[in-house]
Amino acid sequence: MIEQMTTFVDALSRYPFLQNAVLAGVLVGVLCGVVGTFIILRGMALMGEAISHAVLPGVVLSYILGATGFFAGAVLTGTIAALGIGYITENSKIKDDSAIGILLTGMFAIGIVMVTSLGGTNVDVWHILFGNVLAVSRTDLWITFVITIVVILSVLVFYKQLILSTFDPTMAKAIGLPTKWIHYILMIVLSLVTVVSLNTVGVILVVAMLITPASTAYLLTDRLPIMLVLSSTFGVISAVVGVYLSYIYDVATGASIVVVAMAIFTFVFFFSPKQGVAIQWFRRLSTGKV
Amino acid sequence: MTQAIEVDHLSVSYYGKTVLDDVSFEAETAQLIGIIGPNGAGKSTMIKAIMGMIPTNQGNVRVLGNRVDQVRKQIAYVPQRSMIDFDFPVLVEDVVVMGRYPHLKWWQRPSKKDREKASDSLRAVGMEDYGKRQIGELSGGQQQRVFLARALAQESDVLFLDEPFAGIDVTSEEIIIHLLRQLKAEGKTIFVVHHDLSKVETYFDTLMMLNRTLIGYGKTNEVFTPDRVSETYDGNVARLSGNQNQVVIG
Repeated sequence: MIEQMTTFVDALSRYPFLQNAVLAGVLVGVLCGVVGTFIILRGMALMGEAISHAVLPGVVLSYILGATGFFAGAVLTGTIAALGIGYITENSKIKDDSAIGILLTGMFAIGIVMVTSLGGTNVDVWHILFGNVLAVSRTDLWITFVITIVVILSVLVFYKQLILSTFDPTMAKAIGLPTKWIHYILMIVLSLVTVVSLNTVGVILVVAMLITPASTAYLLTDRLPIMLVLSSTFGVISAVVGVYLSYIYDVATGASIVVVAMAIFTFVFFFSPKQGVAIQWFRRLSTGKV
Repeated sequence: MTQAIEVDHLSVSYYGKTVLDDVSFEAETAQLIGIIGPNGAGKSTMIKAIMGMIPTNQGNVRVLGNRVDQVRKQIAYVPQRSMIDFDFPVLVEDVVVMGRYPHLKWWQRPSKKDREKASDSLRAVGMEDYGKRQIGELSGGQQQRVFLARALAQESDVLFLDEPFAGIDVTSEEIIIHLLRQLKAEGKTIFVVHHDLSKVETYFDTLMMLNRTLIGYGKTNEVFTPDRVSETYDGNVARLSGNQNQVVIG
């Protein structure tokens, strides 16, 4: 264990690609932790899943057209999916989980069709789907950094609008907050988060980074600011430990990160002081109620 | 004197189905008004239409003599408890301080004064010892009092309460009705969506009977007649005892 850590630290000091990987992981951990908190509190986990898959055609399109349109393409198809889901539920009797299912798979399939139709080009579908953290460039890092800072500042500035529209959308609407806009801006942020997480965890697993650390934090606190901090912390821990494990054991980085996030969740689920399932069981046992 | 609320030929429909049909009424200030009617009668819809939260087919609504978006601060809303996620990571005092949000600029944080106002409101509903509790740790009646405290903190002239007495304890109910009467005495106009017909006459001096259209509106002792009640509830009402004025919805 000690030896492996020394190896990792040694490699970290030597290889810029590994430094970039860890930095990207930290940024993605913070970003997903913050955005994910609002996603799960708004009951939009499935929506997050949909948007993250729906960016695929946009990403493929930007690969074809060149890197300049990378974000634009992804945000475009992500937003189309978000609007499409809203449009279907508002204009028919289709429930939103079905609308999400249709667009999630549909957009994803369009992306796959686009990739496969390109044949022998340099678009590596594996990397888009599962990430390729070792390919993170300095530019990617800067973009991720800027987006993370913008998201954190927005949450700080618009904290009261966010908490009210999430907790009590009716009052938010009654006092004139633009609840629809808040919803769609969150969807756009989701598309952005997916794109910047592309190299680290990939399209398929990014939703885990949004939902798992936030859910873990949700089990541990009764206060939103603390939940935001905890969620980001779990995101960062998952990312760093995940990159470490993937380097040492030579396994897929994105998956490794998600496995760590899941392990933390599992531990907290059973052993959190207030709501832990095992803790409650022990408590009942000691009071003789089992 | 300006009316608190003027509603003129208001109609609302969802998916082509008419939920509210040609409702017109005026409410003076300083009134405690009960809104009764069966499920799907359009009670919540009407509140939301008055607050400008849903598109209307036709009709005019004026609140305190103005268009609603000019007086949003002056309208407080207490939601149905079933609409709230009580697992939300928020403390009681944080909920009450939300009542101050309409008075803050978009970039402003609640000040010390806002927090003080919030704790005064919490004291008014007898919940001052629960400020640091998570909202879901309270009983239904206590939660309802917290949301009323939030409305008090808003210091608005018009209040809408959606079923505040549904499934709460007697103490909470007494505290709430006492406060509503006090607010009325201070000149506020309060609308309460209500289900329990046995309390209608004791609680409300003005009553609105709604079933897609306005069946009756006026002084409770004038409009709350067996015929109108029966019409409001599509005849699904049995009168139990004449002298106690007990009514049961069946």
